[in-house]
Amino acid sequence: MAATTAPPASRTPGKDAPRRRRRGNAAYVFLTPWMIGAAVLTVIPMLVSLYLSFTDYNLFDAPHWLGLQNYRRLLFDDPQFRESVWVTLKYVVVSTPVKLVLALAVALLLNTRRRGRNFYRAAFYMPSLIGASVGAAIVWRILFSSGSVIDQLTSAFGLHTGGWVGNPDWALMVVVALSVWQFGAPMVIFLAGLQQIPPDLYEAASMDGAGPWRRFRSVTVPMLSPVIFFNLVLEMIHAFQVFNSAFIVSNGNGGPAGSTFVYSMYVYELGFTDYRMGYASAMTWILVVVVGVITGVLFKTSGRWVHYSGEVK
Amino acid sequence: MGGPPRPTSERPPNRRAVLSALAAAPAAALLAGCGSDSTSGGGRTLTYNYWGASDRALLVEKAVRLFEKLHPGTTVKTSFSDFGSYWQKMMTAAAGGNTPDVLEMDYAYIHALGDHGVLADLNPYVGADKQIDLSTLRPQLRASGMVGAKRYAVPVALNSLAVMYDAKLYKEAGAVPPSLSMSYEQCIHETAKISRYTRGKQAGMTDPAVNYQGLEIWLQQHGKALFTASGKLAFEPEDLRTYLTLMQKWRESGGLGPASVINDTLPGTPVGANRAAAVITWDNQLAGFAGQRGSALSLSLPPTDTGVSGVYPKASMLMSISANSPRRALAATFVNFMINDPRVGRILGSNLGMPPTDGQLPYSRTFKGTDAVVRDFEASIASKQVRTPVAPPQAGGEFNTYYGRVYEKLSYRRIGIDEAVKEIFQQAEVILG
Repeated sequence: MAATTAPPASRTPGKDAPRRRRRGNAAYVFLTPWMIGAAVLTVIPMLVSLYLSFTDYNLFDAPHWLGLQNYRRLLFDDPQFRESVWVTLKYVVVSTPVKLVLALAVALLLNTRRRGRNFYRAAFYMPSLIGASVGAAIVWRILFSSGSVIDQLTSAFGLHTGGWVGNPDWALMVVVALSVWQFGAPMVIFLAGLQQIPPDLYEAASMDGAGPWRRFRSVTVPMLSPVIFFNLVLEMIHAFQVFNSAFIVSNGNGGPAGSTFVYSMYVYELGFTDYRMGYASAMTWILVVVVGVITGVLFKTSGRWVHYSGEVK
Repeated sequence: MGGPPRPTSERPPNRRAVLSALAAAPAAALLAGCGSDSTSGGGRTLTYNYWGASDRALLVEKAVRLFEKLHPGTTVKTSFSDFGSYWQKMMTAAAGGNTPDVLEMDYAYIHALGDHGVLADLNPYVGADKQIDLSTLRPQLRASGMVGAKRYAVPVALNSLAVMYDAKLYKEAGAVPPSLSMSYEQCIHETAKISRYTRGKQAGMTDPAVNYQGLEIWLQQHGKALFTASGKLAFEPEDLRTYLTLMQKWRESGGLGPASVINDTLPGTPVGANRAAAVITWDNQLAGFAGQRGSALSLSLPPTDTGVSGVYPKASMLMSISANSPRRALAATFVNFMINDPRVGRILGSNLGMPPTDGQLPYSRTFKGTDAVVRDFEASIASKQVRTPVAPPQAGGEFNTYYGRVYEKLSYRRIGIDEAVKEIFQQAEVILG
């Protein structure tokens, strides 16, 4: 804030320093409500939950310090924890790339000049607005149940699932499909990224005889790589936190046969139906650390494939 | 009423009312500060939360309005939700000290809330000259709501597990419906006839083993129990293995339909969706199931290999008063009204279960339709029921969820019986402590 409103460079720097500091202070004053909110609603609860993760807090009794017992039990003595980790990993590994590829593909299509482009943009973005709603998930559940339209359709092609939501091999795919369907948010970001690519790069590539695929590979992907990276990190974190869709598609039980029993659902169940708040906090913190580590790894490796414009390699 | 007119109450306050009003003052100030309107309107307000669907709400509201009419100046603010959400809300409210004055209580939560001081001990309010009269409480319910010497809840209705079945379909298929005089072997045979007759469109029965109720019935038929008084498992791995083997046979016979039928019909039920012809569930839910199914259902006792029914009289719903409620005496008057006033008995019918007291029971003579079916069934089974077991431990619900999850894997053939028994017993150690 202070930097963007800095006075012209003609002034002597010595005179500016106090004023800049004063403006900095003003910024902090204006930021105070937000900072109080962040502290009270985010930072303090997070620290409290970190503390509780080392206790047996159950909502009613004063928490007792357990040391690492919750973590030990989770990692070595809880079959449901292992199951929920496995289901969540499957979900993340399938849903994130599929969603991003679809978002990029549609963004490429919408980036061309043709009639009704704005209408299509809005139409494709729509599921992201309503997709997180409970209503959409319930409709989704109905669509994929036994004897439903989609069941009949796949049966016509010889794929007899007996209803996706009642089949442990397919139920997670319903949750994945519901997430992929909401590709609007990364799509919009991809579109913005695509419009930032200078047209002369494509012209130059065409002059050199590059076909559409070559232009995509050698111009679009490298130029878009910061945006791809951004979407990848965001969607990956988002996928690890999947809850609503799995909860509704399985009607809150993570079934059939535990096939949609995702990590957050177990945390929720431990915290709000079993009242093992300390244990649930420990589980949450494991997720925080794991997602942090994976994000860190992505950042480390990003240097190899993400190109920022103006960057010299 | 000789005193000067009082703005807030039509009757002169007694000592208890004054004391409770004094106790209420700081709380009321706090509540007013929070924007709550619980003290507005100049009268006394009770908050009352219960679980159920909208059909129950219609009846309960009727009873509540009657109470308000009989006690001018009193307003009862109600709120209801389904069982699962109700308990999430109540437990969170209890942790924050915000429980309503009167709350519906379940057998499974008395320990959890009573042991932590959330519920008022109702003994001071019980007696012939006190607010709550329990002298005509039906004998099967006497112990319900007691934890040691303390009374944390009062039963408002009585029910029992039963088999609900479509008599017409059973007859059409030439199958004998489940009953106490039928062995499991015969029942497996008869239910399979339904699945064959409907070409798999309807199962003979919904798998009774998906939660621990089916297991509990079977254990009690064999003179055993699910939980001990100290909250541990009261049966051996060998019992569970025998039961699961029996259930596997039943599933493989086709009588229970494919495992997916239950998941497929959620949040409804296979019987409600016409995908099964029978289910073992609480008898007071008869009207609800019949309504969803769109055809009449009959009640009967589950099959048995020992001649013992294994089902017991249960307080389907109880009422408790919050320990920090400033209007406990008024709340007790309301509880008494709900269990003793004959008109309430008539309004509620069998929706919550059968009336809990002799004050209300005579009115069940006027029951019609499904209410009458439940009444006659309850009267016919009283002598065949087993003793009510001890209240499940606090983590009983968590164990039930885990048991159900493992059983589901078994029914989808993801694991075998040995593995299921091992997992259930291993985790029971951890869950039940």
